[in-house]
Amino acid sequence: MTTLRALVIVFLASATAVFQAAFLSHLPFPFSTISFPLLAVAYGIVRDRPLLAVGWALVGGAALDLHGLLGFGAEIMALFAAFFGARFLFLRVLTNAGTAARFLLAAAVAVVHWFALAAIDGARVIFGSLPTLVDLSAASILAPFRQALVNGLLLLLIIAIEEAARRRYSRTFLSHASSTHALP
Amino acid sequence: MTPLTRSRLTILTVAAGGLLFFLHLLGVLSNAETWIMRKLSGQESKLAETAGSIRQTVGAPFRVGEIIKENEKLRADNAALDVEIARLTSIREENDELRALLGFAEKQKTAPVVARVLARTPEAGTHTILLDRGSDDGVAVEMPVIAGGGVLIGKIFKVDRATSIALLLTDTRSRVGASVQNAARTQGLVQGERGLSLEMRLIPQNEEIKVGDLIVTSGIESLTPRGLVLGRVDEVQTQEKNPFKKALISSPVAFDRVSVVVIPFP
Repeated sequence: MTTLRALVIVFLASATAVFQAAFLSHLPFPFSTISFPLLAVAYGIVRDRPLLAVGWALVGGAALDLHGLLGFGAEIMALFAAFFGARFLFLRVLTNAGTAARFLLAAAVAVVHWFALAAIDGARVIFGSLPTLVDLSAASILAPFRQALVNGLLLLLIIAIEEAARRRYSRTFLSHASSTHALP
Repeated sequence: MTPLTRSRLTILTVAAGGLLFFLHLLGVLSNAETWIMRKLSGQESKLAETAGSIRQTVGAPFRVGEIIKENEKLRADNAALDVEIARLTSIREENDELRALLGFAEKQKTAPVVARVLARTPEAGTHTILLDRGSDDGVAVEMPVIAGGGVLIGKIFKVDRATSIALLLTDTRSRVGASVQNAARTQGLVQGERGLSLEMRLIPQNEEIKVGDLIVTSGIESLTPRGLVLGRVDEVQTQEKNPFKKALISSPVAFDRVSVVVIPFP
């Protein structure tokens, strides 16, 4: 069962990363800023499923790294940093898992992820590469916050849909005590 | 699953990430990465094309007025270009005759590489495209990327074996030497403006430049040929006390809808 789950995560994480890079990125805002690995990391922390979060970060990050500017490993490292940062926030700072906390968590994942990528970019500059991410234009500075907003709202939507579906399709049992049928 | 097992598995997954990175640094994964990107390129280009047509279809009703104006302008441009083509054809014929008289041999050029756009790079705030051609096809860093028949849209920024990444001209980090097609051949530098538009900077105040002037590459970079179209001047901005003025440029190509590009060899 665990192996099957792991395979499903590997398939979903890689397929959604390819879909994100090849399809969503060509659409206008807000669709172009949707990031499935960031959503999965935030969701995994909110639902206390760290394995789902890091597994998705590893596979989704590797798939995005094949499409990325910063070289292989940058996305994986940034997603891991986002996971550890957000998990610290969830366990040590936030006092509940309400709507505002969930939004903040998803936003924090996006912001930490971007700053981790910027740090990697900065480190590459020290070793002689050209900067690719760090840019002082307003649009560039606002980019992680726009992504944080979109991913925060999307996480709330996903959780709302999940909870609504759970309520609608959860199995209900009649209590024996309240049953009027006499057993033979 | 016990919390301890879960923690161990989490640490193992993080370690697997480190191992993957290490193997990549050693070059062990190079063939696998190339194979994956080659296998994905077909599906990715189809996805990119679909996204492009969705974007165009959804946006079209909101752009009817703009499209009508653009159509009128294109008709006028087309008529002017017909005249220009006729003039240039006669000049070319004359040039060919003169070259033949002087005994010049036409320099043999390698056929350019045609590449499909696979994806936009995932890093937020960057304006780049992933192409399905890499160093195996002869693509190298700094090569120009052309769309729409002769319009420069960017330069190759990073190359892998099967793929390459082009930095679009609209990216703030992009710079290209440019000249205005006027009598003075005014020189300047075209750079991206917040991923949305192009600006020509470092134009001396005493140079005459007007709306509608054609801007082309100056050929100052070793791999970018002279004469590639960058766009037309939309607006000229002059500031007192500033020794230079700048011009806002509109490219004839919609950068976000490009699906096929050409990379010429020098």
